[in-house]
Amino acid sequence: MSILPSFGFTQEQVACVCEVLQQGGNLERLGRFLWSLPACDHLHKNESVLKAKAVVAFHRGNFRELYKILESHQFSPHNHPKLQQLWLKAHYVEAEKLRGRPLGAVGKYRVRRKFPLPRTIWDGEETSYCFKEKSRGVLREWYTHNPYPSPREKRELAEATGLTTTQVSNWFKNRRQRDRAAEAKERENSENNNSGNNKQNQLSPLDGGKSLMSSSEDEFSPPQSPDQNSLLLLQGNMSHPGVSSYPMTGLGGAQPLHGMHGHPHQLQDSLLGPLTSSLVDLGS
Amino acid sequence: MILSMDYPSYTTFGQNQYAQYYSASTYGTYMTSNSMDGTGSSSAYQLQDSNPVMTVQANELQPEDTVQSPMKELDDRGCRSGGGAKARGRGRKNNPSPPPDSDLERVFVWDLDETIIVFHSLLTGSYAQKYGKDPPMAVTLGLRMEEMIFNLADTHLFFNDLEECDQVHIDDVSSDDNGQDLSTYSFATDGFHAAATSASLCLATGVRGGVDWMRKLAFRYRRVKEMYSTYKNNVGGLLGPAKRDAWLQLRAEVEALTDSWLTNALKSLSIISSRSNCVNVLVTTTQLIPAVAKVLLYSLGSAFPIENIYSATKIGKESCFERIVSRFGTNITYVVVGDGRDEEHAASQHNMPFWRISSHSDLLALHQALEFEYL
Repeated sequence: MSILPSFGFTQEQVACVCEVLQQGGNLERLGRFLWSLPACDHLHKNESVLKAKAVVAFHRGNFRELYKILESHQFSPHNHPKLQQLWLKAHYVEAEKLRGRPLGAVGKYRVRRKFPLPRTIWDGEETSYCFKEKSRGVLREWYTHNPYPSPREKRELAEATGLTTTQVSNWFKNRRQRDRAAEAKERENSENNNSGNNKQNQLSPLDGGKSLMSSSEDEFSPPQSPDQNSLLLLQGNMSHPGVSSYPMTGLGGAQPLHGMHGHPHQLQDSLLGPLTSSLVDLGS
Repeated sequence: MILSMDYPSYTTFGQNQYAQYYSASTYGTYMTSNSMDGTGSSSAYQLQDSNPVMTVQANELQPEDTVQSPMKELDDRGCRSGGGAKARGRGRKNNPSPPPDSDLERVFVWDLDETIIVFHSLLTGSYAQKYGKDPPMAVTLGLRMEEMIFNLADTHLFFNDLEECDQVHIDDVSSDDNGQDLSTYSFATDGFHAAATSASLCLATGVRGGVDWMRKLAFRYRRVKEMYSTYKNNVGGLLGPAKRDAWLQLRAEVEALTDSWLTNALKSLSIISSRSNCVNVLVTTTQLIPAVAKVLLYSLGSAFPIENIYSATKIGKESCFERIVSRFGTNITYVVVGDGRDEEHAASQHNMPFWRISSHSDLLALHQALEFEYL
């Protein structure tokens, strides 16, 4: 295949070809096309071209190259999701190779902590939740003052958070329900306290700020006194809007830690594992 | 220079009388009176005295009726697009378009004017200006072409009847068809024309024929479909020997003036047609019937099955693209080819790669990309 054709293409056309081949999943052809491009700096800084190179590098298992591309150029937001996936998947694969066996949820969490997303492909916003941290903070703050906003107040909240009034309503409804459930659970736990059955109360990162799991990723060591801690947390967190103060539904509940499907990104937020997945339903 | 003198009414206009076809906002002002005296048509529709009851179905609101406002007045006049009460667009049960191939990988969505053919810019003189051609010559060629297009549309494609009942797609009224044999059917005397041009048509609230009228409408579209399939590779046969020669001559002159623009476009279209995993789709802001006429006259019939032609006059390109995606699915890669404006925007709305055509070299580059299987 002669190199000649590429000289006949404008940058826009090159970008178009890159997009088409990527969307079509024709990565072999894409690789050939990229290889055939003239060594023009301007061309190779084009975002579509870079994205294509990243995809091809990933496809070929050339992860060094992939990381280099992802880290050395600022990408526009609409490309972030795809590129973040590449970054993460590549690191997971490498970690799995080291470990010699597939990665579980916690293993992946650790990988993400060790290799945080570069700001070239990430805007820094915590995205494990559906709503941005900023929005959630506003809602939490409000909740501590009044868990029952009026319709007008909900509208104002919606505006302040960039959410819809339905989302605001649902957030409050869920929050109140979880508070109630947690409260009930707490009462039940303190009754069962002397039974010594701590298995269901494991949720190690109660003290937040420390490392997530001390032991292997397959097991969670139960904290010393889960009930006290959880109580503490419940009470303590109420006055700290900055800290996630969701009720510990998952703590005493029927959900053992293994059921934590979410990927707790930040330490104090790992408490919200089970809540995270239900938050997903809120959309956005 | 061959200038057909059979239709004096066309040549007396100082400016392009069909300009209103191209801009949505002036569509409604096209004179319907022309069609009554049979000027330019070889088959005169006979006016009948019948005054069919036309009922308004004002409450129908299809997804595609939420249209840009210039089209509103069109919708309110006369016959609204047929089959209104029935589902149109996505998920229609009665869409007889052939189901997409299971091995389909790419759909190329083409714009027509100034992408595949050079037509409008001949009339406005902009092509001549850009490429240093003789402006009056360009305009004359444009006018002759235009005459041919609308002549064909009027004569063989029922444009007189259908222009106010413009559809997006050839199958959009098929649900009103009863499938009866049309080989001996007389379109000239079935009363459709009278109903369509009767005064009651122009009520602001809009009128519509009953089931009977809708069926006749469907027959016409079916007949257009049949004509297309018969003559798509042989429009000369449809035109008849005299016009055919004039047409060949005109085509040759246009190709010469435009430095083989169409020929170049056809190269790419052919490659795509020949691939079993690719199709060509046409989305144009020309109304459907004239668009079909253009496709026939520019010998594009082999590149575009009639079911792949969409007119964006009523619903806009973005909505057309949506229909296309619903039809072919999301597992396909779409490539939009156009000269900018609407199609570029519509493409970006659907995250479809866009190949811009602004000059010959863009067409050549596209051809190259296809030849080297980059696209």
